[in-house]
Amino acid sequence: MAEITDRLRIAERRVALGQLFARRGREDALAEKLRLPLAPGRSAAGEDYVALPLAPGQWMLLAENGADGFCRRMAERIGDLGHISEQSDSRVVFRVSGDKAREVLGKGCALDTHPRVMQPGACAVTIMAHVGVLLHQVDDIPSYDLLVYAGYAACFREWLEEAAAEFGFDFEVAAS
Amino acid sequence: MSLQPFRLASGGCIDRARPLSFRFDGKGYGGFAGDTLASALLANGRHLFGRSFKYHRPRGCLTASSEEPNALVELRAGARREPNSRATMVELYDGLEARSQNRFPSLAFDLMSVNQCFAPFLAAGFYYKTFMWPSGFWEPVYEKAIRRAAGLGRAPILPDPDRYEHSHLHCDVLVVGGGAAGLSAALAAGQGGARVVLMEEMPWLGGSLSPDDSIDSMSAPDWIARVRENLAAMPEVTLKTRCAVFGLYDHNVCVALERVSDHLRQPPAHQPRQRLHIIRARRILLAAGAWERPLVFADNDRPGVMLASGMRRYMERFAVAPGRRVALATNNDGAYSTALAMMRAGVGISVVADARPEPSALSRQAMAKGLPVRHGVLPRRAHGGQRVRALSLQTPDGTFIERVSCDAVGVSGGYSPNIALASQKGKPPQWREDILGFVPTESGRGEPVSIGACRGAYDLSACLQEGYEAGAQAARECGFAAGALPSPPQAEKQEDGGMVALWHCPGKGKAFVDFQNDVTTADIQLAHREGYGAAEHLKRYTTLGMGTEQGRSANVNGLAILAEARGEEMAQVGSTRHRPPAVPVAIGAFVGHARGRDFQPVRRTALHEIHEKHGAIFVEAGHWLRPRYYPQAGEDMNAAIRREARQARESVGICDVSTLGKIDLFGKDVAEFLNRLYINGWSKLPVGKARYGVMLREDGMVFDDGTTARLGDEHFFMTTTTAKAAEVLAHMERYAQVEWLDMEAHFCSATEQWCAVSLAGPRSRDVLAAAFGEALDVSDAALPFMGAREFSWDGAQTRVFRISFSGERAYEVHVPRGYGAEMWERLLAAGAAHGIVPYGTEALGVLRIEKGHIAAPEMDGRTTAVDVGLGGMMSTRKHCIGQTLAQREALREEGRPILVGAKPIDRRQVLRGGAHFVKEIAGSGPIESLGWVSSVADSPALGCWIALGFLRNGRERLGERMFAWYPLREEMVEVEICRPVFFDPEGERCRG
Repeated sequence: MAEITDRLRIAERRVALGQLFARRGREDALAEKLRLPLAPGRSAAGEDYVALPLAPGQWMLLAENGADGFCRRMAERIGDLGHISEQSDSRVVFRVSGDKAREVLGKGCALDTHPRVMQPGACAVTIMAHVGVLLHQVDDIPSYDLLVYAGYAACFREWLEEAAAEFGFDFEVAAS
Repeated sequence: MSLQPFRLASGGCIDRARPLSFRFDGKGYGGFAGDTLASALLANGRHLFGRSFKYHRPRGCLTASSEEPNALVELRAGARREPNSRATMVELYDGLEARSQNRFPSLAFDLMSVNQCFAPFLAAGFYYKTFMWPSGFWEPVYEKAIRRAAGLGRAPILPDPDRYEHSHLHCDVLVVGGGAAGLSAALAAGQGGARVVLMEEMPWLGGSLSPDDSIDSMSAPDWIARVRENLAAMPEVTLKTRCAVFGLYDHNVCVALERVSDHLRQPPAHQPRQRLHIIRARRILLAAGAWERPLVFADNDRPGVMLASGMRRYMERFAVAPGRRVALATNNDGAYSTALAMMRAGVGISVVADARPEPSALSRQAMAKGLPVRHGVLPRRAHGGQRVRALSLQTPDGTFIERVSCDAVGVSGGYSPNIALASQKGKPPQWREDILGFVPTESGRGEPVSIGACRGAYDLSACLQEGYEAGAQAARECGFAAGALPSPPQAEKQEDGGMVALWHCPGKGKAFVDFQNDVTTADIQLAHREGYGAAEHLKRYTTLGMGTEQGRSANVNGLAILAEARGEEMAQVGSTRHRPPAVPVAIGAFVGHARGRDFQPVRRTALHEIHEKHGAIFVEAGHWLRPRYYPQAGEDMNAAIRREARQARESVGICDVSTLGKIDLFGKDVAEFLNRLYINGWSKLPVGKARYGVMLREDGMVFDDGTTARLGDEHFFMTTTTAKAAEVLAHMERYAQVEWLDMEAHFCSATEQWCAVSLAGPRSRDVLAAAFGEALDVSDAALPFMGAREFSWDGAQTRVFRISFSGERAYEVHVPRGYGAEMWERLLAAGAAHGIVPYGTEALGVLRIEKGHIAAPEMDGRTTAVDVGLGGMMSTRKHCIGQTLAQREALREEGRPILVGAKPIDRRQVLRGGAHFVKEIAGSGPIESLGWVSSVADSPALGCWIALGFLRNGRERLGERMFAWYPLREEMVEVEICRPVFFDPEGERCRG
């Protein structure tokens, strides 16, 4: 985890993603097997992934490493308890990190990111700069992952950089 | 630097060490940091600021605050030119440039001031009466003349070079206004740890506190400084100055404008000019203060006539003397603190005319100090032209007393609580006879609470007390305990000397109620006589309370004059309802980031850069940018489209179809789910096959079409049109979540996961084999028409569907977005031997029109499956959405327009989408439209233009000749009606 908190950092990252559906009536069994959160708004860490609840019986799984074949491997583990849709290429993840991150997000995000309201693990589906965003607070630096559709990534990045410009920031494109 | 003859030798909050220079109407002046444009001009002895809206009367500045009605100027130049800037709100910066408005040729000599002579014709509602006839003159003559004569300032015509941004704020307690009540409230609310935001419109805190005021045994400036420190030490308290809350909405949502860089010559790097805050607060405390009212008497608008409180602010904050010898007129105690401040500053006072018959404690004090106070005396008329020279006085019954010379007149007509925000929602404001003002009506729990002067509490100690209590209460309601401060800030209680109602003074001559809109006493009386006697009607008829000033100084006087005319009490007349924005807001602030290219987001496919390299011309399809065509050197659009379409027919073409909606579906009931969505059946679709499907809306009209493939027993992959992708997904979600709860059908968008191309043409299989033959058996046995396969190359999971929109043998290849570019290059390399060409949406359209395939123009929400020729697809063995209403009588009517084709008889003629099918030539009365042309193409395969369209009794009319009439261009093209499939009607080419 990054130690420097005074400098705003934005990273464009690619991670493995899979949208997971529990078979009807097997939601609890799947959740137990994969350590999935059942309540909305909070992520939970699984073995090598983080699960963000999207809807009852639906999660987005994020895996940092071993992007290739993640969904195939998960499909085997899921077995008859559900289904997974390969989404690794569908979204670009922007990680905004630093003590000014809240202010940057506040220029487009109508949600309250104050630590009394959102802690690490908080996640929400929202809209920023007219673009749909799956927001996930990663740590209490704070860092946020903003998952946006890949087709919107270039124009979303332009907005994000404009919003962050007054604070000064480092931008990096992380390898997958 | 010129002299500043009206600058006081000492005092004020200006920084005398930082002199600034600026220009007004081209003339250079000097001021100091901390000045406003108004205070600096007054310091320079400049009292004429502008010309009035209608009569072009010379005007100075009436106030030292945000409600200034007169002193509107054009600020800056070029692209940053900003009309109607209130000089009282414009903070001085070095090199500032401003110009007066609404005058020609110059401010001192304005030709349009001749309007005053025509005043009898320019009374309220004059434009409804005067410019009635002849009606032919409305637009060409009257409107132009009125627009030239009226209007305020000139809007810039160049693009705004500055940035504007939005910001979302959340807090427990929002305090609107940083005066005594607001500061006291923020202190109390913040000390228990609640998240507090305090917004103050002016650049400074303290509101109308004067250096003479004393709080907690400190001078007001010391107290403000200490409060600022205390608040700064509370980490959850945010202080924003230059920030005006202008809108108050349901659920305690507020909108505020922060003037981030307006006080600078131009915004610093990466800073916006202005920021629009959207605030969601659990509790809102309104501490917006009160406005002093002017007195209404003849020629009360002469430059030099100013609110007494404004004069005091000019002296105390800006160290500017309002004049050398000032006459004051009042109906309350308000003018006396100004008078005493003048004494201290050494400004002469010629008279204090107090309308109250008996002295108050304060007026006695003033008299004891030797001030020339006269009770029971009213102002009669202000004398002078471009600067007031004298004030004549009268008794309350209108008897002339005397004329007192002066060079400025300070007026105080009492105070109006600032209810601009409070009255935007909730109940209408209430009239309080004891303070002669409207106050907000108490609202329910959790609703905004007004504190201090904006609810009629004018005494400083009361403001501090109730601000403190309301702040603590709001924090408690948000779950925060009271903090350490033992008690509210203390100030000495002052006795209020009371006031007499003085809505207008007797006498002849123009007495202005609304300075900004040139509304006089006579206009209000006229409006009442003509039937516009309701408060809201009065506003519309006379423009009272409109403009940047929004009735702050004018409304109550105006309504009182109306009440008098109606012979009723103020409570019966009531007040107009305020609406946002309460302060002027530039459009740019509302727009924020979303302007120009950023008006809406841009969505790019994985192949965007490749298309750019191929020289594509793009077309917007929703948010998507799609290649429209790829012109080669020397090629125009039509030539490029012909070449692309021809090559796809003759050899092979490749088209980016990534924008198609794609939906992954899973579950044991998906086939049944599709049965209900589509008109055709899905139960028997085997794994490895795709099928074309049509969906209806509930009303039976065609909704969308596309192909869906079965990739596994419980896995289907749907494609939709580009335009309807989101709508189809939402439609499916609704049925899955609301209607068909018993089904197991899970789905999500996969549009962005997959980069898809269509490889079309007789050579497409060869290209596919060359590119992927090692991983995929492309033989017709292994991949027949409508076959669907998954395979993998270089680690890329790939889906291939043998489906055709072009009518040629074609394959849709889907790879994960990250592999898109690689797939494209591979296919292009493999196709080089066959002269593969990329083709855009235009050629795509040509190919599908030649085949009579429907697209958006044929699915326009007015056509049924039968209309578009797909009625035969409707399965009768199951039920689907829209099936029932598709049976409506009108939709089954014989003769409904159905899909047909049309070709011009003269093969050189051009067809146009939107043309009507008609039988006879125009010219003899109305023509019956038999249908319309929906899509057209210049077909390389047929060598002429072709059209798809809808025609009444279309089946019976095959082979008939008629006209495609395009009345907008008066074009009439003779056409022959034919079947809608122009090319390869048996479909042999795509089946192979």
